[in-house]
Amino acid sequence: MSNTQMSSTHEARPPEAQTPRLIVSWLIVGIPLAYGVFQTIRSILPLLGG
Amino acid sequence: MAVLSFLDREHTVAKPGYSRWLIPPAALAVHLCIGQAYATSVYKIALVQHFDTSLTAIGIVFSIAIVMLGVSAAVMGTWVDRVGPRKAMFTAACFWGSGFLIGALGISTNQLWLLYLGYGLIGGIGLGIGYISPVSTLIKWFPDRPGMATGMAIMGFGGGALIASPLSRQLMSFYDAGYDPSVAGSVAGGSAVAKLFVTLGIVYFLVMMLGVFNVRVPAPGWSPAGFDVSRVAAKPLVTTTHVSAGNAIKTPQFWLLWTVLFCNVTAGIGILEQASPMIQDFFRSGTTSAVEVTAAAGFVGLLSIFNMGGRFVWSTTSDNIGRKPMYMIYLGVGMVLYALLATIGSSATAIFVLLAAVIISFYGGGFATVPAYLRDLFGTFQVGAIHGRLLTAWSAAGVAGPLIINCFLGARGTPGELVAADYRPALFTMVGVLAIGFIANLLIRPVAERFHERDHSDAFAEARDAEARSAQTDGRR
Repeated sequence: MSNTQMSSTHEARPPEAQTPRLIVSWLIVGIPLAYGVFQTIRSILPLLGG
Repeated sequence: MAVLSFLDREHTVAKPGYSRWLIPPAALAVHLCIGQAYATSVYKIALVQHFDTSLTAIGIVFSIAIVMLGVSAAVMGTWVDRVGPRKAMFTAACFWGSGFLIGALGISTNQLWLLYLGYGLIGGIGLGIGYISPVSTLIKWFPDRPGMATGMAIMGFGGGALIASPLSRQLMSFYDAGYDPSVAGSVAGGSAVAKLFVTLGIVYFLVMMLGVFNVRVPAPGWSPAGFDVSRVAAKPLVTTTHVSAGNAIKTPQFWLLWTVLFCNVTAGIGILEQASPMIQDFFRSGTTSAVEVTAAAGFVGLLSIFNMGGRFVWSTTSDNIGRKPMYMIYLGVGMVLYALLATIGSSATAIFVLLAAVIISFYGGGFATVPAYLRDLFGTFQVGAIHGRLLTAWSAAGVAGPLIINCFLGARGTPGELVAADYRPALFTMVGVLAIGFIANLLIRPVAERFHERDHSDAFAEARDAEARSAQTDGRR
C-alpha cells in the first residue's frame, strides 16, 4: 500500500459528515422494505376480515 | 486488475470515525436482493406455460439455486473470509445479476437449460456468497450486539421475498397488458417474465453495489465506544479465542449446532410449505372450508412478516439472554406450540394463526441467531467460513422438512382436501424433531482448547489484548 493510501486510510472523518450518507443508505433499503411490508399487510386483510 | 483494486481487503479498512451504522444497510442491500429466491412462486406458472413443461421441471430451477446456495456458502466461505466483504459482495452481485440476465436469455430463446444455468447455477452461487458475505463483518463491527447485527441482515433475506413478490406482479402487469395480478388464474406471458428478469438483474446489481461501496472492515484494534470486552467474555459459552473453519468441523459443537439448525429449519419448513392448504384443511367441514382462498393467501403473508420479524427480534433478544437459552426457547417452546397446534389448533382460527405465527418467528430466529452462536463458540477468525459450512444443514432440512410432511399428508390424501386430524401425525413428528434439536443444544459446551488458534488477531481479540495490556500497565503503576 502506498503512503498516500495509508494516510488516507487513517484520516479521521467527523460523524456529522456521514449523516447524509447514513440517511440515503438507510432510505435505499428502508423504502423497498416498507413497500414490501405494506403490500404484505394488504394481503393479510382478508384473513383479519378486512 | 488495477481498476478493481478498490475491492481489496486493505482498501476496505475503515477510517477512524467511520459510522458502523453504515454496515447494516450495506448488508441489507445484499440480503434484500438475494431474498428474491423465496418469491419465485409468482412466475412459476407463467414459466410452465411458456416452456410448455411440468411444474417439476420449473421447480428444478429453484432447487438448483437453493442447493448451490448451500454448496457455494460451504465451499467459498474461507475465500470470503480471506478476501473481505467488499470483493465477496461484488462477486455475489455479479453472479446474482448475471444469473437473471442469462435466465432472461433462456426464456427469450425458449431454452430451459439456460434458465437452469443462469438463475439456478450462476444465480445460486451469488446467493451463497451473498448470504455469508456481510456476516463476519457485522459481527466484528458489533461485538457488543452480534445477534442484533446479524439479525438485521438475515431479516433482509426474509424481507427480500416481501418486496419481490408484489414488485414482480406489478412489473409483469406493466410488461404484459393481458396480465392482471388481481384476477385469479391470470398468467403473464413468457416475454413479460424475461423482461422482469432483465429488470431484476439490473436493479439487484445496482442495489447490491450500494453494499459494495458502503461496507468496511474495522481497523485492527477497533472497538465501539464503551464496549467492555470482559463483560461479553464473561458470559457462558462466549470464547475470546478462535477456531479455524478446518478445525471447527472436527468439533462436536459444530455438529451439535448443525443438528440444532437442521431440526429447527425442518420443523419450520413443514408449516411454511403447506401453509395455505393447511389453514383451509384445519377449518374444513365436509368439502368447504371456513377459510377462503384469499384469507389463506393472507395467512401466508402473515407468516412471512413473522418469519422476517422473528429474525430481528429473537436474534436481538439472544444478545441479552444468551444464545443457548434462546435456542432452548426456539426448540422447547416450539415443541409445546407444535403440540398445541396439533391438539387445539382447529378450535379457533385466531388460535391457529397465533400458534403458527410464533412457530414461524422461531424458524426465522433460528437462522438469524446462528452466526452469533458460532461467534460465541468459535470466535470471529473464520466465522463466515464456519457459517457457510453450517448452512448445509439448511439445504438438508430443505429436503427433509417437505419430505416428512408430504409423506404423512400423502398417506392421508391431498393437502387442500384434508381435515385437521390428518395433520396430527406430521405435527407430532415435528415435535420429535424439535426434541432432538433441543437435546443437541443442551449438549453444547465450550470448544476444547486443542482446537484453538495460536497466532492470529482480529478486532475482538485485539480489544481484549489491549485491555489486558492496559490492566498490566495500570498494575505496574
